[in-house]
Amino acid sequence: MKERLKVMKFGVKVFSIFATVFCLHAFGEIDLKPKDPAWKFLDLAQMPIQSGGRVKPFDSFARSSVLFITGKRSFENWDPVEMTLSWIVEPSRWEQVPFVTILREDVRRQIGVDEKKKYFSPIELLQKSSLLQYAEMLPQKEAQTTNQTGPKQDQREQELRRVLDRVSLFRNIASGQAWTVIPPATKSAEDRWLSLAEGTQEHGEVLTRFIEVFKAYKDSNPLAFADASKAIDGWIKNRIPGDGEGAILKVKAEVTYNRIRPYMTAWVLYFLSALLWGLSAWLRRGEGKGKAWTQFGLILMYSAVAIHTVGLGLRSFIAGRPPVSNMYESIVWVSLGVMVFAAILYHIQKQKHAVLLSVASTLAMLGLLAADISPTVMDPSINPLVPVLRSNFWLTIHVLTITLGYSAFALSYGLGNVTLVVYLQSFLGKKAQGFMARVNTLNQMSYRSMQFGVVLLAAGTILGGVWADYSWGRFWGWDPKEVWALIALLCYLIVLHGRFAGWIGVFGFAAWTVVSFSSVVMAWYGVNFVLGVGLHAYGFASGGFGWVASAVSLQLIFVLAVWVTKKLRTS
Amino acid sequence: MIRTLERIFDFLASLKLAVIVLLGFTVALVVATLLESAYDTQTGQYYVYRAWWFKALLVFLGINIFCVAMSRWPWKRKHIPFLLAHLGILILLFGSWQTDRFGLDGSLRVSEGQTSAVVDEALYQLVFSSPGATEAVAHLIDWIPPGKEFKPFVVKDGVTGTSSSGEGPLPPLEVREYISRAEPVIGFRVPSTAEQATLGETPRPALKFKLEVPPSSKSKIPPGMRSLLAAQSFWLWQSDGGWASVNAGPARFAILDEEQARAVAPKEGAPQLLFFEGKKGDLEYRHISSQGKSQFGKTGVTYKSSEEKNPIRFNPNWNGIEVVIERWMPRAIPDTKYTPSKIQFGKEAPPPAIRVGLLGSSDPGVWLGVGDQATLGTLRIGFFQKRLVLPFSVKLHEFEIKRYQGSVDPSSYASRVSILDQQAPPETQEVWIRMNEPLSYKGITLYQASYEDADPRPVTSIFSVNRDPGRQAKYAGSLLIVLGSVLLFARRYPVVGKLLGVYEGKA
Repeated sequence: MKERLKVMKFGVKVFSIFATVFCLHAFGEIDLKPKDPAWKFLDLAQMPIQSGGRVKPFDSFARSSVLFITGKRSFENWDPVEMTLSWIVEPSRWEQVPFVTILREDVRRQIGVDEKKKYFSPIELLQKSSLLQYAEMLPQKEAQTTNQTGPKQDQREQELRRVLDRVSLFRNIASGQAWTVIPPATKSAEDRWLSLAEGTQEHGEVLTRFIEVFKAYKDSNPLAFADASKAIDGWIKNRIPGDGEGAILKVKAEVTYNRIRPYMTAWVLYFLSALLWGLSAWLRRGEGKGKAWTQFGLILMYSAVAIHTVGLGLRSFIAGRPPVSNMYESIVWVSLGVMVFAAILYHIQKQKHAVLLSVASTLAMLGLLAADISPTVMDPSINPLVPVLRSNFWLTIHVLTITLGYSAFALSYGLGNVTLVVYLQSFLGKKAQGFMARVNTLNQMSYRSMQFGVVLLAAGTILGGVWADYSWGRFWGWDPKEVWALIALLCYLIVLHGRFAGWIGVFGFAAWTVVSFSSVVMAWYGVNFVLGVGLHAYGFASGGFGWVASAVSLQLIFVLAVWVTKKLRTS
Repeated sequence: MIRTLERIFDFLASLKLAVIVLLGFTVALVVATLLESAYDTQTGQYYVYRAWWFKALLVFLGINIFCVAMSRWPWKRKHIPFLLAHLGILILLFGSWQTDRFGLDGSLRVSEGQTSAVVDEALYQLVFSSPGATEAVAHLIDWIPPGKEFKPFVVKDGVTGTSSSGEGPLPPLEVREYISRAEPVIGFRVPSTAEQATLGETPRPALKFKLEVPPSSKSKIPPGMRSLLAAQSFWLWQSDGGWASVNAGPARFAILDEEQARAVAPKEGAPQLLFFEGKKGDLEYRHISSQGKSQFGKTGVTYKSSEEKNPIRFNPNWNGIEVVIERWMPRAIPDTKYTPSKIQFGKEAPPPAIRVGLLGSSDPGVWLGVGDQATLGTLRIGFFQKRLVLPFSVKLHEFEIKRYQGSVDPSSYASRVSILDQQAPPETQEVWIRMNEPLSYKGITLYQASYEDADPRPVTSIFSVNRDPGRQAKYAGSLLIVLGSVLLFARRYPVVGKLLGVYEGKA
């Protein structure tokens, strides 16, 4: 017994002087490289950690940390788990490696570092007096803006703030402070876990085990590393407070979710199916003749839908709520909605038009692609909800309904674009056979889809009123998000009524479905990312404005160009 | 005649008019959200949502829909979806009008262990009464955005229907100035003899001073510090006849009675400069140095009020820092003025202030910020947030915040309250009001809106208090709209089409 106590004490001591010991080796040139692929980090990835208000796998913690600090999903071939591990094993060497990103050029200029470079070492950043001055000012600034939603912060200042946060997150990981991996001795699921840096003598066992992991990594001993990381994973899992089984299942599900990257697979498949249908149409083998092409495309598309659905399902299971709490989740959800509407419309059609599916696949592909390639704008990590959004039936229903409405409008928008392209072809070349029939069919599908959209958006907006009434005691308060949902609805109602009044013809309908979608973009993206005011503040973020604005402008220019061509041709 | 009426009806019932009204409505909404984003919520509300033309547009939309619905008369089975959707909108608009006109929307704040029945509404009012009157006249003051021109207006007794009790109407008041987002500037003045008779508070000594290092001084105090010192003046006012003190520069300054000043036991520490009114009404002082040495002296400021132009300075021997007496008034009352705040827009912007005078009088009147009260001639006046006293009060027993594990982010919060009703004692059982779990009592609903954290406790819980007479109409209207539009779009499908008698055999 005495013997063991000694060992534990030794362990604590070793841990506290850990950094110092390894620092001694850290002379010479910095040659930090990931280990060869024979190394497996899966056990460490599965290790539970308490972070961001929930228990999650270390994998998720490492991924969001690496993404936040480097601005990329993985930095120079490092597995995020290994990179995070390496930070605590070689802290002083990492201090000198340029891997901390600064996303804005004006912030680089302000701090006084090389504007052309993308990455900077922590030591380099902390030697800059301007950054340090800003850090000193921060507590004051925070006192001034204690308001929960706060005024709109300058984006440049936000990024400056994030640079500091990046360096401090790195340092917290490197010093063990962010490794909140020691479960509390109590059995309460709400208690705080301790970090490695906070571990005391009574945590000797777990600290010793961690040191074994770090040492094996440091010494490049893959076998010892595999054993040690398996042991520590098991040790923590045995001690998760509360519903341990459920938590472990969620942790495993989350690692799987992180590693299979369902949306990437799905968008590739969507792309292939759209490409296939596009090719078959181009080779004039589409509708009717090339049945095999269509069938093969359908198989691809349905595999994509299946993977897409599994991904969203896993995410909902892990988060314990429907996946519509931020931009990332809603774009994934809306993409799935587009596919669902297209599938419904396709299968109730007497004469099947594969163009419906190719438009839907293209849209879903674009949505998932956008979500997949811009993690710095749309944060893919799973975060807890603010109190007002929790456990509320009406909230869930109204958001799901509204976003499904967006899906329907997106489909109608895609079809509108196809119609415009068909028009453009006819203006530029000779009139193809059955031109009017094609255009009418496209418009008919677009109109159906728009009907779904109008009903869903109207119902969803009203359900939002019901929720607001239930939560805040008011049905309607002219909040910008509410108002923009109404504006989008009004835009489509204007198109429908204008069509009914005879002001909008076949061409006009196609053009207006495309133009009206801008109001959906504004209600969906613009209110949160551009206007940035109102009660829906919990969804506010920034970034991507240039991309979205150019996309919308290009789209409007395209509509205008087709319209002008039409005018020129008919006059 | 009938021809003309028919024409007007046809115009109002036309689809093209509907498209134009919808377009106008949409544009107005876009402008409102842009205004709100560029300035703030109040500005957007003022220029669009609360504007008369916006309400007129809504009424016009209602008339348009009504006429369109009537133009289908006599109604047939096939009209059902169309009628449901459009009458639904009318009912919804009616419900909104009911809420706007008769509803209550305010907030109630209670700290732990306290009881309250006072609901604040997001409106401001000028309240005035004659002394001794039991009832006061309340006049709503509309919020006006910064930069918008303000025209003085008159507030009369009886304007709002509330009459003061007894002795005939109160003299009319004039609101002469208005600052949308106002910041107080502390000041004092000597009241006129006529005024003194009616004052609520006794005039007391007031002193304005600042600290300065003369440019010629060889003091070691750096130039930055010097300009910092010279930039700020301090007021001391003996509000209740006792001590009034302020820490400035290296020392503590106080104004107090002569007896009190003489009774202070000298001790070491930060130097103290104690001002008091001498026997002849001139300004005297007692200086206790950092070594605890005491010394009495006269500033040379006489019994009369001093003028700002001729400050008097003396040197208490603090590294060259001199005390400058800028203003001395043996008998003064507070005279707080307001200027436009540096923050004019956003959540941090302060509330408004007004300057009110008696109609026809030549005096400048008084400045009132929200919550201020004053005496004007024979009137008591005050500027307040509109308040409503509930027929019952709410007692907060406990406020609970739950947080996400291992973090400071709240996951939920709740208040344990009970209701105290004079008409139906004893108090009710304790209930929890949580987020999304409101409490209804006597037609009024309390929602957990937010809280103000305090360390140490007590925490203040903030409830949103509502009564919504338009609720039924709004829910019914909503249901009809959704039902109607579903049917409208589903007409082409056999099941629905047959039901409505419009099915033509082929979709």
